[in-house]
Amino acid sequence: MALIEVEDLKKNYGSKEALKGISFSVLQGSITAFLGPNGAGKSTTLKILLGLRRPTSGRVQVFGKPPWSAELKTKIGYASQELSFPPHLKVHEVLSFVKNHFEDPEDIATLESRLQLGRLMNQQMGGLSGGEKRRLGLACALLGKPELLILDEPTTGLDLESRQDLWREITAYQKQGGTILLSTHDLHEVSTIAEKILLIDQGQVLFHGAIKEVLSQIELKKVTYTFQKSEEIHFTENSDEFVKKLVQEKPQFTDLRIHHATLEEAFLKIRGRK
Amino acid sequence: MRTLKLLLLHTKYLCLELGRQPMYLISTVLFPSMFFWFFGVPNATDEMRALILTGSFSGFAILGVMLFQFGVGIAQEKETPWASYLRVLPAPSWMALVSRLGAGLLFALIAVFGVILTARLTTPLVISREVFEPFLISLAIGSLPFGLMGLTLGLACPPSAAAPVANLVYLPLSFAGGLWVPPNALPEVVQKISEYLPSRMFGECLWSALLGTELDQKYPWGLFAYGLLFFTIALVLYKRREEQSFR
Repeated sequence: MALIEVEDLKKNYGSKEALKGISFSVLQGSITAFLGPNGAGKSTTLKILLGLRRPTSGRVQVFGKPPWSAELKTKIGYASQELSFPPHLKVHEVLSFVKNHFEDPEDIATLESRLQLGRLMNQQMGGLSGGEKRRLGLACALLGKPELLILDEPTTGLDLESRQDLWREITAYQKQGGTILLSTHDLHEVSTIAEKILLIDQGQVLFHGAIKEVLSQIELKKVTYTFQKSEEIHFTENSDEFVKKLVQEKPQFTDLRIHHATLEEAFLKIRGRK
Repeated sequence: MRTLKLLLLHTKYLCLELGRQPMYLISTVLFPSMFFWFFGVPNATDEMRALILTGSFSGFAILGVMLFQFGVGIAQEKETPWASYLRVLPAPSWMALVSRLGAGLLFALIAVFGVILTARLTTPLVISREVFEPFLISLAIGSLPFGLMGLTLGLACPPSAAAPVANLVYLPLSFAGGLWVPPNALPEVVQKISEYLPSRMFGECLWSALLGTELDQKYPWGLFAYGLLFFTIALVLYKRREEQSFR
């Protein structure tokens, strides 16, 4: 069952087209990663899904309802990309504040332990690092026991260990039946946890499907070789043909290597092709 | 019932946040008392003058809180990610504005009590129980048009412009409204303008309540008209903001 359904979504800011008719769906119980460069339209789409912006045109349904429906607010947990908690509130106060909005909230002590917030509980927000604020942001998003978690750039500013903890938490949430839509730049990490990805650039969807499909669909190979003392890199879907051509045109080449392209390289190739 | 509970929750945490900012407390709560100490005390030579000046500086305290804490606060918070986050939580979208007004009224009350305490300790002020109640009611009701003025300012101004604009409104309005010096001591031209200013109307309501004198009804009605005017402007700005920002 699709929790999120978006059809031909357009959003204009004045004369600027932020979204040019994008369509996608997010299935219940899945982890979907929203990928794209800055200004691609990721945050605008997430804000529309959260009811913070209205679409210019198109159809958007979250849990079968328009995203600005009041009843959705208890079903969705959200962690923002930008962090601006009130600087003089303490961590336990922010958690308590958010918790009191829900009728059946998650236990703060449980989240405190899972997200290692214990030693931070009596600290004021202004004294927290970016990574600590991110962990608190995730805790706030989980406090209402949401069915859908929307995370905007959740790993920005996190060290390696904190990133791993966060991915572990997200995976655990999914195993309990939760659905996650997250935006990120981190293609490598996302490839280990997300089942589906949504590539977006300049307000248009470039690819929507399983991560494996991204690579298999284009069968992208990375060919590197040295020619006249400089290393050359080429991406090709037909490496045999490329090597035959190379032998004919540049027979003096050395150090030929052929690899499968990484997800990041495939993404760049898709962008270039579109 | 749930909405009221949430409103109290938002107000409580806003009070906690504001109450921990020394600069906020000094400028909002202590400033009117300090101002009274410097400019009110030397002139409060008898009981009646002490009453009038206590009323004036209480009004001045209300103006400050409503324009700065409420108005500038709204302007500075409205574009923050925290304001967006609050809208994602299961609470009405107006909750942040109304809780800010609630917190503003609470700090205004503390500021007014600061002025009264300073007056009690340093001047011949005596406020009888009979006048204290109407005085508080006048303060509470009279603060609403200024709350709406603050809301208008907060919605109309970008974050960086709000504080300068508030100062441009606050200081002339306080002076020309007769809240620093008695209206009859103002320059002649200012006296003529003063009659039409909401700060003067507010002052007249407060002085009348404290002195127990009859109030010329043009003042409360004038204040009501200002309230209505700012309510209309604030409503238009609020709707425009909702359409522009959240559409």
